[in-house]
Amino acid sequence: MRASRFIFPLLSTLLAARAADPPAGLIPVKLDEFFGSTADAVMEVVKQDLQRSGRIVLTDENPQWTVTGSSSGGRVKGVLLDAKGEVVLTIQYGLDDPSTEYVEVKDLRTNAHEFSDDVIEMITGQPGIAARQIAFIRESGGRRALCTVDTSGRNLRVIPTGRLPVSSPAFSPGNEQLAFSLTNDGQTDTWLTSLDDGAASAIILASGTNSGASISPDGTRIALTMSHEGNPDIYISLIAGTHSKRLTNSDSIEFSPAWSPDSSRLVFCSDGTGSPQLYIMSRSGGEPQRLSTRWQTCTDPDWCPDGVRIAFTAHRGSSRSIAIYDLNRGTSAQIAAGGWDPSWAADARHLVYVKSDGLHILDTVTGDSRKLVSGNVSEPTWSR
Amino acid sequence: MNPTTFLSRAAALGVTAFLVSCSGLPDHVHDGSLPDDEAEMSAVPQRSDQLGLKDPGVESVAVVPFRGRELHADSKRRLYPVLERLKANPSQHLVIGGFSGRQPSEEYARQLAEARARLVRRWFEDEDISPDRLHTAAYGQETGSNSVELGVFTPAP
Repeated sequence: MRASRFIFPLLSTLLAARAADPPAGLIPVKLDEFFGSTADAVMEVVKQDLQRSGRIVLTDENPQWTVTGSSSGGRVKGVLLDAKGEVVLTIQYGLDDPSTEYVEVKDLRTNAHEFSDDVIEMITGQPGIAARQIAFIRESGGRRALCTVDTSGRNLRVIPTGRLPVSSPAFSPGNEQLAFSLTNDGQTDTWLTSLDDGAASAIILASGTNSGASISPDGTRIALTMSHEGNPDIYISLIAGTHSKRLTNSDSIEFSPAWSPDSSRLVFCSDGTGSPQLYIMSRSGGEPQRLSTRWQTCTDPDWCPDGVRIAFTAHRGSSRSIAIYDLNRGTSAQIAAGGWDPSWAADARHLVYVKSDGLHILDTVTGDSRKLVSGNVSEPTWSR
Repeated sequence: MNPTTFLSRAAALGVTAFLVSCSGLPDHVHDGSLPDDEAEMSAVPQRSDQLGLKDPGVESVAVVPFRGRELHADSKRRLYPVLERLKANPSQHLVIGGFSGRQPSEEYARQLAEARARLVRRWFEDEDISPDRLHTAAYGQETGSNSVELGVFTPAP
């Protein structure tokens, strides 16, 4: 009896403590009250952003960090406090004071997303993705449109590209420009448009099919497939399209290049063995190295910002799935069945991909997937 | 947000704690210099033609079925009548439009259609048709057909 008197309080204390412990690996953060006329809306956006990061658990018990702030009109003032209650970050979003250069007239949600991303980067050391954009092709009524959407599925925007069929969107670093392909009666060329003012210009207008552009993370070059010298091969040009260099030279078809995070290498597809497979090559040339994925057909590679993983569409018969190749281990594994066209987020954790019912975002750590956009969509790419 | 913008803004607001404690931020700032391999690069050739099968005045003359990327004997048999027509009419030009059928990816479909059209173009070049008279176009999986379509036209003098 005496023992149980001690054990039960001790057990209940331990259980209570365990219930308050955050799940392993998650950082406990308290989302405290915001003030101002639009505080509730901002709090809701920040709450979703922090939870969707996959790295944070919101709790009032023993938080390592506390997020608070105020909001009125379209502006957000965000504050981050550490475990001792000391302010470590105070930033205003949507300032319109002409005496400062930090004038950004953006909507409330965008300002809230940017605050979330700064908080996530501050406390996890990894980039946030809430304010990043996803570009993709949406097909409706026989027409294809180039669209962007934010990672909460809001702010869907159609980028003007004219009436010609559009394909292969690719962001420049910093999310300022978008490359894409336009096809006019069998002639496909690569264009670049400014997301600020909508100005667009053709940057690669060579004979043949010039498509599948990927802009290097350092912003200096574009890799794409060109065929003006006789066969579809990978070329690299300067970002303005003024110079080009043929990287591959074979009788097979090389396509879908994607840059490594340090802009030194490319992964691409080649059908040299019959069906498309993945290859890696230095941007300065040399012999392509085939990746042994053990899949019948591999397409749509995208190099993870962590530098060691490559996501791709794995084909077996008529079924498609998302798989990841690990460069350190030299092995690949399926992570999502029934999907294709994967693109990594800047946090090296989330992937956007296509399923038959629309765009989805996959957390590659938990396996959780959520639908972002419904409809007939293709070729999503995430701004980084 | 652009990390550089973030740093500038944070510094302007006096957020020194962030600047001190945050590691792993990108330290790359592009200095505006040209890439080191620019010397190996050449000017991108500009398109000299913009012709396709849908161009007014193009008369469809043959559909050549394809399997894979090879030009098989039965496909070549469909090319000979067109070759004879081009030889008999030296002022006529040929539009060669590639189609891919359904493929593992849209980009592969585009490039497979291009490769098929290029293969047929090379065949006509090998048969001594001037490259100036040959125009290729690629339609990808637009129609679901695995073929190359041929059309002829006579350019305005």
